[in-house]
Amino acid sequence: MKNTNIKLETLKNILNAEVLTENFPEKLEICYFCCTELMSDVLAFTHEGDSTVLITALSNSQTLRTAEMVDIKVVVIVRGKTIDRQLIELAEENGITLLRTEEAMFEVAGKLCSHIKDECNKEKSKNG
Amino acid sequence: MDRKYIIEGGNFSEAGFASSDVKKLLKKLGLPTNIIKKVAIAMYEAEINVVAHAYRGEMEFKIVPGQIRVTVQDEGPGIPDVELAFTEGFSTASSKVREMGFGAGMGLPNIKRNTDEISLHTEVEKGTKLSFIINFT
Repeated sequence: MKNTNIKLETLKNILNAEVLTENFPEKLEICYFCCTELMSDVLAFTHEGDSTVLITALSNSQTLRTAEMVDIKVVVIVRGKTIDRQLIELAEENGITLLRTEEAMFEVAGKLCSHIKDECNKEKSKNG
Repeated sequence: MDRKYIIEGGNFSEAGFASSDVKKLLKKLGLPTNIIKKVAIAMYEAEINVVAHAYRGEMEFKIVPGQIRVTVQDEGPGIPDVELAFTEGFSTASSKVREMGFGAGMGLPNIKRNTDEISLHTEVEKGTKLSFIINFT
């Protein structure tokens, strides 16, 4: 889904997320949000991986392999799932920033949608 | 230039290694990013198919002038209805495969979408040979 741009630092704050990898490009602009557990859908429908965040409850190596194949640089694991050290290492090897939030997928999507709406309304009122 | 990989059926922890290795190689060689992405997606889906459905398999990757050629041959149950297998949404994946985020019936359609030529030969209870080509300039 194409939305407005959000900086990675803002995304982390909105979701009260914990950064698990050493790499955290806080100024990275996120334009697309992909919320799913279906990795084949990620492979089929991701067009601009560099500016997409993958939000998923699936915390296994295939989540990171899938992200790697389509150049997704940020993965958020929802529901505070336990994440193996190996998974964090795989993310770091491939330049992927891995975040974890206690929020459920529904809450994550809702928070991001309302942030984007607020930003759009601010922009509209600025432009009169 | 060519490379060959052994794929172990059912081993999801290693699935994606071959595709990842090839993607890194293509980046080093400086191929266009859209071509690298097509190769990575097609190879990864093919690799997952072997892990998900077969007992074992081999993946051969070759670069020739203007083309990337990949062949994936497995020993496994084969595909009883090839036309159906190429239909988006059709899947015979087990619940274990679905737990890994696959089995949505997008594997072969995704491979087809990202390749310029594709051929599939299969024999039930013996195995499947999938070959595809991606052109580049």
